[in-house]
Amino acid sequence: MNPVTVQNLSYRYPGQSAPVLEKVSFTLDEGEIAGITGPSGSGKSTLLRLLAGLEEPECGVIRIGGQIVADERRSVPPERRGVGMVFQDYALFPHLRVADNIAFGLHRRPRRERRDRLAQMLELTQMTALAGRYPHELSGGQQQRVALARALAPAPALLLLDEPFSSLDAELKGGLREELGRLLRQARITCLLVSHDRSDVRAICGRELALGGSAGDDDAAARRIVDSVRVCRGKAGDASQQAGRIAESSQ
Amino acid sequence: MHATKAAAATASRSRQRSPGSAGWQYFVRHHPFYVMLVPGIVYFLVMKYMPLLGTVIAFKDYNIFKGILASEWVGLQWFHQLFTYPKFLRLLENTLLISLYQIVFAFPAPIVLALLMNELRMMTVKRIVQTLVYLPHFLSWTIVAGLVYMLLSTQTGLLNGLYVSWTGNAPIELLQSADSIRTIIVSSGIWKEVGWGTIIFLAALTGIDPSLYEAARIDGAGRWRQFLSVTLPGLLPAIMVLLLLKLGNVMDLGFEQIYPFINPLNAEKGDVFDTYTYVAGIKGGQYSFTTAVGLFKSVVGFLVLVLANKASKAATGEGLY
Repeated sequence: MNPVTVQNLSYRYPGQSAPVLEKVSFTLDEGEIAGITGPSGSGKSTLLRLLAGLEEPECGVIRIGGQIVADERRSVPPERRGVGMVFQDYALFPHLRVADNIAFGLHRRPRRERRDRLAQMLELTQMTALAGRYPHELSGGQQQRVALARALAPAPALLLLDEPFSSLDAELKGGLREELGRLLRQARITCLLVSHDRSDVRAICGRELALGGSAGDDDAAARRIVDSVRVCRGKAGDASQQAGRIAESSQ
Repeated sequence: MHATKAAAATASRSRQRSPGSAGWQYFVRHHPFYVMLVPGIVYFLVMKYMPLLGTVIAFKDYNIFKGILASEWVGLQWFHQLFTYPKFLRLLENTLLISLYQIVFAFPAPIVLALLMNELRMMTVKRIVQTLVYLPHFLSWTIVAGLVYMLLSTQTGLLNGLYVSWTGNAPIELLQSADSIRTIIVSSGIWKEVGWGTIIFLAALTGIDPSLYEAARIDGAGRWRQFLSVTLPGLLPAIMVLLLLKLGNVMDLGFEQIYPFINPLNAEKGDVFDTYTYVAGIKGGQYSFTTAVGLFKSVVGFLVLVLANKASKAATGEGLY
């Protein structure tokens, strides 16, 4: 069973006549790292927010870990979806130290488990030495690693990354892309990444889902969905060969 | 030949004053900004700094006919008189206690109201509530005092009337009681200013990054934990700045707020420096003495502000300067 299945997902912003997403369908395999690309306004980030439960779809079904988390009748709240998310600007809590930021989502776990998981995440992201620092004392790359560690700490079934490189300058980006790719593969987690830059997706992901058109386009067909699936020369190994299932155009 | 010499001399002069000339060039390049600064500087000089010179009458026996310069210098006589004034300690106690009550009860009130209003999801309801709670700010203290009298008066007060008709007891003399005057002053102040005070906190709340709330929600934080982890830390800088400014005004309670409520029966616990200054200075014509009182208040306020700012910076990293 696919850990993530999206079927005929549609969404429109309140008060807007044109849907930003229309009948989007795709699946993700266990441990697969896929990337969504598309022009501005094509609904990339909205798709992530729908998966995370921060928005409710107009219609369609989202299954995560075999469980329906959103359909016409129900919408499971974000904290019960088993989803982790790295936000565009990382959304680190500015008054909490690195360790507290990472442990934020572990507050319901027993103290010992919390401590072990924190140590594990700090080690994975190589942030152990900086655990006592505040976010404003870290570089962009370090902040990204903390955001990743925080999202991974509760061991989600699906990790979502929204434009993880948009806050970084071009020089930093190259090295961090490699590093993020390595960390994600190391974490062995199903992951969906959004980027307006296809080279980000190609460097990290095994598959690319291209969203076409923008909500402002008159041509309804143009804003329909994921219109193509490409097999990338990514580093996710076998996962990159799983192309065909993703998107089926509704046309 | 002469031209060459003159050019060399000019070059030499400009080399000599190069550090200064860089500053001058910067000034010339950005002169419109400096011109725009002039009205602000003039305002502060004329309205804020020049009146400071008038505080010299605190050290003189000011005579309105002789003028400030010709009045006799008396040194610290008025300060001595203030500190040995029999009611000095009473004034100090009343001022500090009412100020303390305001900091403990009136200061957090707009924060709580802003947080509650921030939770309203129906924009129409939110706007109506905002408008209603802002309105009392535009009433003068005299009108507010009139409303309080209409509620609490023993003869015509609405609340006292209801109390008497329901219980059959004698009316409660709240306005004539020294024990209740501080509560009346502080609570009427909260009613009048709480809505207006929410504006700055609501603005601070809108400045909090919404993705912080979303990140907290995904990590399983309920409303209370979101409040503790996102809202409160987001509001803290605004809270600290306003609290420090409030502490700087610890001796200034506002004459208009208190004077309408004071009568001979409650003056024992309601009289503060501001009302005393008015009675002694304006009514009694003791300008030098009341200027000394004002200067004393300012110095205390300044010291409290400096100490509070230091304490705040040490504890939270936030400060005014």
